[in-house]
Amino acid sequence: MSDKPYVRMTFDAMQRRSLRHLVSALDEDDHALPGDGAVASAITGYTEWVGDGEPVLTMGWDWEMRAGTDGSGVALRRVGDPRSNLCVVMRAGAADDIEDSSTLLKILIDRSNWQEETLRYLQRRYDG
Amino acid sequence: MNNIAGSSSTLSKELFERVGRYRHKVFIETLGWELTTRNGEELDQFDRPDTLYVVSQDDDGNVNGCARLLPTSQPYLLGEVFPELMNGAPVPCSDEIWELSRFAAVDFNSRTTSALSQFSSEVAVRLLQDSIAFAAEQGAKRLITVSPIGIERLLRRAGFHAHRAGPPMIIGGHPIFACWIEVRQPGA
Repeated sequence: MSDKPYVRMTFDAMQRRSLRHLVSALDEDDHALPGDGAVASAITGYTEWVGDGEPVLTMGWDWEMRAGTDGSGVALRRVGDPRSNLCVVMRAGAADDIEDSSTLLKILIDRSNWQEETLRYLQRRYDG
Repeated sequence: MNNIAGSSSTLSKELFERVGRYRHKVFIETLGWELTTRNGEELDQFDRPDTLYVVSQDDDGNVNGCARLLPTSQPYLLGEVFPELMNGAPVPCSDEIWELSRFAAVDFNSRTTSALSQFSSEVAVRLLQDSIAFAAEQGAKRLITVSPIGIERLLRRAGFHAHRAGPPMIIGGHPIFACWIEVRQPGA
């Protein structure tokens, strides 16, 4: 039995990988589990992204929808920890640490522009 | 809330039939999955004499949750039906790796619970914890599960470490995926 049921990758290598949107959805009921910072009354959902190339990377995270800062439209904000098949480390020789990996993945997600594609997909999925 | 674990021969015949009807109601009538049925019960080729189950019942004896456990050393759902969810890795085959499948915790007798919230209740968390503990009693050191991605949230909530084995596949508009669950938790 392998000791490592995940893909190990450095933060630098992760930054060079592009992710493409797979699927997003609204939470289907009001009992969904919010991540840290989520508000029970907010519209919430999840989004899933997949990395191109090998090894295949998969990441998903929860979001909440809020009014845009300029008063028009809406904005999405990641809430909670990402879910993935990855263990991201800062250096090649660093020990695997799932909590550190989660922090690094959150940095990568929050630096990326995932909201635009997710909103477009949600509009197509739920329009009409 | 009362959880019972065992095989089809150690659970009572009446309870096992109620589990089959409960699974029919959850997976076929509610979620719309296209699955095999027998006399109004949802049962497939992996419901064998050696298959283990964990069943949750409310205080009135109504089934409000269920889970199925199979050793990966015998035929199991992921290995036979969804090997592509392993993202190219070989499917597990070990007495120390068990599969968790047909997990549901929908309380059809609760006025406050949505039929789609099968992963969000305290019943679900308890059922998951008991299922993993029961698998550990059988020698499992790690579990693999084929599930809707919502189970990841439940695993986090229940305090388990889980890793995806690969990307989700979209089936019937809903993502399902294979997920590793560590039986022995850090600090345990």
